[in-house]
Amino acid sequence: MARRFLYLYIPDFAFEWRGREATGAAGTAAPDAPAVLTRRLVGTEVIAAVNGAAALQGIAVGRTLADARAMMPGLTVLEADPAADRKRLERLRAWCHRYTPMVALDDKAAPFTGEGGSAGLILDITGCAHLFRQDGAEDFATEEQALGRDCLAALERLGFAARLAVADAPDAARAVARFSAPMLTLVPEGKLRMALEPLPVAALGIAAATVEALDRVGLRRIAQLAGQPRAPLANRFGLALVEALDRALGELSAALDMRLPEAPFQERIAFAEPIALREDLEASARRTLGALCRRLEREQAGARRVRLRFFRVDGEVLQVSAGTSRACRDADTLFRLLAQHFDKIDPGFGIDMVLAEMLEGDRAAGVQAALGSTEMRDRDAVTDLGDRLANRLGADAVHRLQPVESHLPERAEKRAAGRPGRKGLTWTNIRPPAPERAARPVRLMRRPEPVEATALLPDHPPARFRWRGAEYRVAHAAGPERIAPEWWRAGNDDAEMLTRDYFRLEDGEGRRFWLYRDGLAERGEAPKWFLHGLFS
Amino acid sequence: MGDPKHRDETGQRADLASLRAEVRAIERGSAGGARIARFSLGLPALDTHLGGGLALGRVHELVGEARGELRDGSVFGFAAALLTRLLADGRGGEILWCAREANMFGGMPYGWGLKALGLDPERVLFVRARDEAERLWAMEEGLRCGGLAGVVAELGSARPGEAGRVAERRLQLAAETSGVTGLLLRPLATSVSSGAADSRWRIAAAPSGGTLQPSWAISLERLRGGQPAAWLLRWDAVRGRFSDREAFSGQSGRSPKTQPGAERNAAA
Repeated sequence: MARRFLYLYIPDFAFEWRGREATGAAGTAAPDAPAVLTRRLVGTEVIAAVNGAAALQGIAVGRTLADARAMMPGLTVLEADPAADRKRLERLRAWCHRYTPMVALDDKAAPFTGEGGSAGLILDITGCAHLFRQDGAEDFATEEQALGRDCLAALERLGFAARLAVADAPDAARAVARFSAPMLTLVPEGKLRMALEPLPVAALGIAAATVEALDRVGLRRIAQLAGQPRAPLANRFGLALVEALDRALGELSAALDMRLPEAPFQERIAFAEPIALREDLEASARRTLGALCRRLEREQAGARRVRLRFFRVDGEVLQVSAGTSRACRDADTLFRLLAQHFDKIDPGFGIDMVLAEMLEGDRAAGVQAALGSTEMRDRDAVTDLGDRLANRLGADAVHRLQPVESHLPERAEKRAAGRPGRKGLTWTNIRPPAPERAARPVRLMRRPEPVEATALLPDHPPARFRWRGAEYRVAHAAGPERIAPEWWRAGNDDAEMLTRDYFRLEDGEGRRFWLYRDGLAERGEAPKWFLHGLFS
Repeated sequence: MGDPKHRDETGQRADLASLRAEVRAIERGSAGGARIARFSLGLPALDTHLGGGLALGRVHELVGEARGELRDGSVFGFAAALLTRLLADGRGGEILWCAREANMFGGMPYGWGLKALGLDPERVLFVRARDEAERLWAMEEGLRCGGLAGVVAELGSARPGEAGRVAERRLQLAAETSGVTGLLLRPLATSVSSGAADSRWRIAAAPSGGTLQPSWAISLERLRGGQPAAWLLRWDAVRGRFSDREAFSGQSGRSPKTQPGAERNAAA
């Protein structure tokens, strides 16, 4: 089956979304009033974009605002804001994911300078149209028509007047959508040439200079170009023209940035009546996840990361996602992970579609069957618990401790996200410390805390010390355990580290602490004392 | 009963003791229908007083001596020691440790220190939560997870309000359903508890007599269906069990001792 592309063209995009935002409701702006977007250029207001009505009045991009006002006193003037346009366009793109996961912005929009306020989106709808099949319809074209009609109607509800075209090549769909009048044109499979021939050469999306040069030699329609031998064309008008022609005719494939990674597993559910109740959202989430998991089951795959997207009637797309440590295709587990975030889903005026997708997954591997030893089940239950906690509290909130080969207490362990792999160091396979180095505190300070300590002799343990406003008298002491800096590690932190002498201290009431003296007394380094840990 | 408190000669006291034992049995029966599973602490005198060990599938409260923040390692160490016993004698599995990130005084759990006490860090999953509500939520999630053996939560000094009391009752309920044992660690200021926990222990560091080994002065302030009591305990990391402090043998008459001032049988 050939690939099929839908080009979505909104001529007055920049005006329509602004109008909608100003009036607060879709479709109530006056679409027929001439309007322009202006930007400042060396102290002059220059027109950056015009809407259809203004273009009909002969107002063109690039003229000054003063000229335009003279021609058309009642002109609506808005300030151009490319960043805001871009943001709106990205939101429209997200909205388009209701039809297909593959949506690209049309970056070729630039050559169409006469319509700076327009928007173009390319949707790869290969294999998607059947989702919009109407009862009884077996015909491929009918399905595409249903999709196109649905899209036009939905865009109209959002306040956009659009023109759509479906064709085998994205460039052809663009040419047809932009340069022919019907709201919806379906170019049948393999009929690109027939559809393109009547269109002007500008529809190829080539530079304005090339269009002019072609015009001078009388080449105005694509039909005239398509019949010409390619080599002389390329010599005279540049390779870009020939490539544009070949792309439009589907003989050269275009590179499109579809941005989203293809999500091969997705399930959707659309509602004729928008839903807003939390229970309804949850029920629809369960249904789509259930369908997704059944497909995963059939394909012997499991999800590592899933996303739910809620399409709001006003065009917003809200999403929640969750990850799991091991591949999973249990709808209940996935639902529990995602449902923690449902609080941030604001249904607004309602949600008309819910989409469940697998973003990352594993094939077959790692998916636990229901059978297994109790120990394995317990491990899986704990892994699931970790996922649940991480999804709610943040991925870095959940960790395990993994040992590290190091003498430095603070470096001798690290936080790890999950269970150690087969090759990793574990608390059982790491070399145990020598007995005199085995005494370690049950709590370690994140940073050693400076204390005021007084020792009877420079190299003695402290007789008393002061930590965080309280005074401790030392009754018993053990040590020192000398820990030298790991000079072989070229870490910056170590540059200033001195040799430490650690002492285990017990005060009169039995509280036990781990203190160290920074710097060697015999070298004459000024001793500083730090509290590094607490013993039980 | 081996409880020396009732080792009285007069018949009257013996009657009272048997009556108490009966009440205790009834209370235990009402809690779970059948006998509660327990894990041994490895010290016969202690286990006998607890009626065979500390109850599994219940929440126990460990309260420190300092106000505001736990400023020494005694409560953390005692909790780690209890968990070591839980894994050895109770049910195998893993531990969820809900740590308090903002605890400036207590630092963070240290794997090598836990290992030195005998608690395998391999079997501990740590979670750090920003506030008390999240920590309680995480603990409840853990107590509902049948794959765990135990859950520890470090709580702050805020007095538990009504919401906290409800949360604690929920914890107890979750623990009873799943059989997972919970430990609540908190500083002294919050020792006015909801009473939802199965037992409350007050933990203070005790002098080790120069060995610098883990030693505690423990006072069991409250025990469902049991008596308050106090002990001086030491941790035998090699054998992984609690033991009496020999250094206190001179005071053995007071160990185990009762605390006249402590609340009497609080299992109301």
